[in-house]
Amino acid sequence: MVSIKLVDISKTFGSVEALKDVSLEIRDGELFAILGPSGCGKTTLLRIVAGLEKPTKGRVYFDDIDVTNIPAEIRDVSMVFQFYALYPTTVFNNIALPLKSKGYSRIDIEKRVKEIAELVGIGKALNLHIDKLNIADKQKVALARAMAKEPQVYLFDEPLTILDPVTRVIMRSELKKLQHRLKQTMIYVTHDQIEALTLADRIAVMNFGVVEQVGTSWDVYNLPNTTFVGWFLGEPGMNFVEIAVDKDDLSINIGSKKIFRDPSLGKKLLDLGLEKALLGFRAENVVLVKEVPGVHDPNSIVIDGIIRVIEFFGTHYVVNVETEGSEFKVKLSVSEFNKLMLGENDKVKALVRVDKVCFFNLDNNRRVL
Amino acid sequence: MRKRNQYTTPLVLYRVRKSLKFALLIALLAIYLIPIYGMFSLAFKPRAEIYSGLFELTRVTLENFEEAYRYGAYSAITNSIIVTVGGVAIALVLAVLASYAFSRFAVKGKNILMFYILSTRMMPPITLIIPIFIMFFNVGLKGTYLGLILVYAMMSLPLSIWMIKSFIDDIPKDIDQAALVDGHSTMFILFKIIIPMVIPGIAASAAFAAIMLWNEFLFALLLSGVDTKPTSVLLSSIRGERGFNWGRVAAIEVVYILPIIILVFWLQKYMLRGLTFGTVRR
Amino acid sequence: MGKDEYIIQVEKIAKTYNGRRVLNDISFALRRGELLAILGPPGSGKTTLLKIIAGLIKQDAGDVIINGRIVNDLPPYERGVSLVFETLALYPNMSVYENIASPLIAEKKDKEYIDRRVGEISRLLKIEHILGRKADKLSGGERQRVAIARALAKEAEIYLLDEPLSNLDAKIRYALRTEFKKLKSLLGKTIILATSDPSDALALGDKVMLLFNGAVIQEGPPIDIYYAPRNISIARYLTGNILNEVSISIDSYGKSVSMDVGQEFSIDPYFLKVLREVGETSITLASYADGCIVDKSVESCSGIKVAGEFIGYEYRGSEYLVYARKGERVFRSLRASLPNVTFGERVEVCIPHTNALLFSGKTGSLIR
Repeated sequence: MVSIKLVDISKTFGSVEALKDVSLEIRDGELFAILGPSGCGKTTLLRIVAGLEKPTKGRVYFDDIDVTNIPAEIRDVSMVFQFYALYPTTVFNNIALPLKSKGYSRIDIEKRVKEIAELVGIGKALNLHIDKLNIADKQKVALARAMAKEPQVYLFDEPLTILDPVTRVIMRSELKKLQHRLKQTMIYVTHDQIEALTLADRIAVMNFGVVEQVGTSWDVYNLPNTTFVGWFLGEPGMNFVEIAVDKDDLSINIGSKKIFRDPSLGKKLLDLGLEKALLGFRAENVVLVKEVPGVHDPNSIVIDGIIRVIEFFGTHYVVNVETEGSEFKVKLSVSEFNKLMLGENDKVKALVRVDKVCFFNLDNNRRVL
Repeated sequence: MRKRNQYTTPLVLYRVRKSLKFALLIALLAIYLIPIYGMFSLAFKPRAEIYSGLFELTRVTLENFEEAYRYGAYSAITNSIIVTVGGVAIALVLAVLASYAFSRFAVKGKNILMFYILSTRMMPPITLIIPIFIMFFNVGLKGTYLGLILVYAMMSLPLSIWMIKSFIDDIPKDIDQAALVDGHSTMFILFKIIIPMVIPGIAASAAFAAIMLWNEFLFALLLSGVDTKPTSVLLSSIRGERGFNWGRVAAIEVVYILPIIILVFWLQKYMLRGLTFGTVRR
Repeated sequence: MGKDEYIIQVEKIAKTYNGRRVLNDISFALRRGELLAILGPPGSGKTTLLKIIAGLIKQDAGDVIINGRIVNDLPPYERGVSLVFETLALYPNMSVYENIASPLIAEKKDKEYIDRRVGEISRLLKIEHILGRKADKLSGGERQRVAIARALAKEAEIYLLDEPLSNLDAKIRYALRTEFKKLKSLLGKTIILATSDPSDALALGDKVMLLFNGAVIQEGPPIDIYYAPRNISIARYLTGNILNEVSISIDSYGKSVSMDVGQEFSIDPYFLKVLREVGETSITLASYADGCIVDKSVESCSGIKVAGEFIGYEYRGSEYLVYARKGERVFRSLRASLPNVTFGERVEVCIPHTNALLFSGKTGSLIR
């Protein structure tokens, strides 16, 4: 049981800056996911926590102890990799090995191994050779061996990627249950946003060696701190359209089109010193209509545009709407789509409720509202 | 709650283990490096101190190198360069063409031919010495550069073909096909697309062939003449009037060994890849 | 050539490799400007078919007719086709410019023309800024664009694209797919695209042709393929093999009904009548994830209701994909929120009759 603190971690490989001043606090007993595209530095960060890599700059603390210079062998962490690295022997021996090197007695070892194996659900397979197991069970053995080490921290490097989708879902549930029982600190690195959103208590979203945002699944999805986080999460990612505030009537405009007449939002933006900003909204939060009912809806932004591309995905449609040179996507259920009878080059109006939009600073791509 | 100093004891043990491993490695390295050090040390020592022990070097001098020059060592080095470069060049030209054909065309009996090519490297070279000697003597190639170059080209061909072929095999056939769809000719594909992509392979096989030919002794001894004698032959006959002149031998060795060291450092990345014969294919 | 005539016809193409039939009498025809998506798992013969059309592999039987002319014996560059390889096959030692210019150089076009054309195409694909870079120094998305640009540089009647979006990061893939569709309607080219990803085929194709084990098993517009898959293996493939399925046995008198999901099930009386009228003793009922309800309890279900166990979920930000299991059967349901249950707890699964696809239990072919 331990909390982990990373302070100003930087790492360079030759001339490549893999991590730039990363600071994170991972709470005791938390399942913390590090999410980002390949090459964003997430695995390097995990290896630094494990002690397999030394940071070029910065410190790593377990509780209040500085472990930056403690080598991996004695740092007391367990790591589970994408490809289980098991010894070609029985399940029992694989799990027992870390216990043996810790100097447990034979009776104790037997007892511990059984306990752990039960816990991860491979109690019946103890005497089987690992070659006889399927991939999911092998990954469970790897997990059990990691547990046998009784580490302070569990580190996971995409451990479920090679499993089939259903097994992956089940293993995720198992891992969540296990974490609730063990109450151990776990760090989970993944490039799969669904995995991070589903599993984690909190998520750090990384890009180009920088942590863009730390927050709960709901936070990072609905209130992205940066345009990158908004774009990266969700399928499709968040829409961004450049808007300008009219200084006279405080309305919000895309090019020459007024999309929101109520002065409330425009005032807030101007108070922040922004005449221009990026409007961000999610494709599934858009309501498409062909004709706007005459009434003026003070709670929705209304953008009119032309449908450019329609994509059918089976469970839903994604419609690309063009307005004043910019484009955004709208996600519609099949029944909604069929009701509207949309076709390419149709004129439509897109309504987005004001509480579902974000605004980003154009200069640094950070969210301001 | 864990103690604050939980890492102290394991850390000490860890450091002790690590230092022991390091010491062992240093010892092993010394065993391999001392002879090479000895050679350099001998070459730069004054003649008077030759027998003063390996590690004592009071004064650095080039007198052994002057001595070696007077002895004709530098023309031997030149000879070595001529026959090595000549042999490698001919072998590479033939090997590139042959390996492209083997890699890409439907050659009848491809596997058997490839094995036959390799098998020529398996028989002891000494079995070929006598027929080649007689043949070369009759056509007047004995004692000439050309004679030795031809034999050397033949010696380097098998490995070069195998190695370059493994590099060409690694290029997806889709690339050739893409060029075909674009409308390019076979010659364009070979010279403008394939060869530039296998430069590392050509470099690797050139390096291996060069090392082999540079060190070759047997054929050089029998087929070279007085003026065309390469360094390996010179070194074997380097007895002075009163026993070996160690300083001179060491000086020639230093000059002899340097090109190889440079070559290996320069091309080691490709040579490692060449040694695997494409077994690291994805 | 009239507008209604086919620009390409493929007739009864067959190919055997080492005794294995990789293509079995493949026929299709395409009009100018259409996009045909050939959808099938890896190894189903897609690449072989494209290479036969391109003239890189010779078929054992059948004809390729382009623009009304049989091209079986023509070399690749005389067929008027252009191909984007699955491996992309860029020339790694050449610059992006040289790669795109390659087909033009082969056609011996003059320098000025090449410059202009490469400029046009690179602007279209947004790669003007990397023209000078070497092809092996590009990111995945850039390489894909360059490969498409090289294919477009050649003035062809038909563009063949082999898995043009594979090997890409999901995000880039998503963006490139939309862009590609836009490009397609902009250029009005005839395109044949091979893919193993159902999303690509459904989103991009004017027509989708399903190729399984070297044989065409269905052809039609994406919506038809999705809502009326000719047999159950197609429906399974479209869902990545996680189709919601139940096997129903009805005795020959149509009285007793049983399912492979245990005793605990119920069927809406109207729906039962429909099932009986089918006249088959064994029916497989299937639905997609958006046509299935999983909840702690489902009060009224207009189709069939099954009891299962909640095994997990995926949180996708916009929605939840909830997984339930009964025996070997796994059910998925798209929901706006999570059901109020814990892992392992009992849930009810409902497939309303309006969302149910019925397949014959014996042959697997679609009944309704």
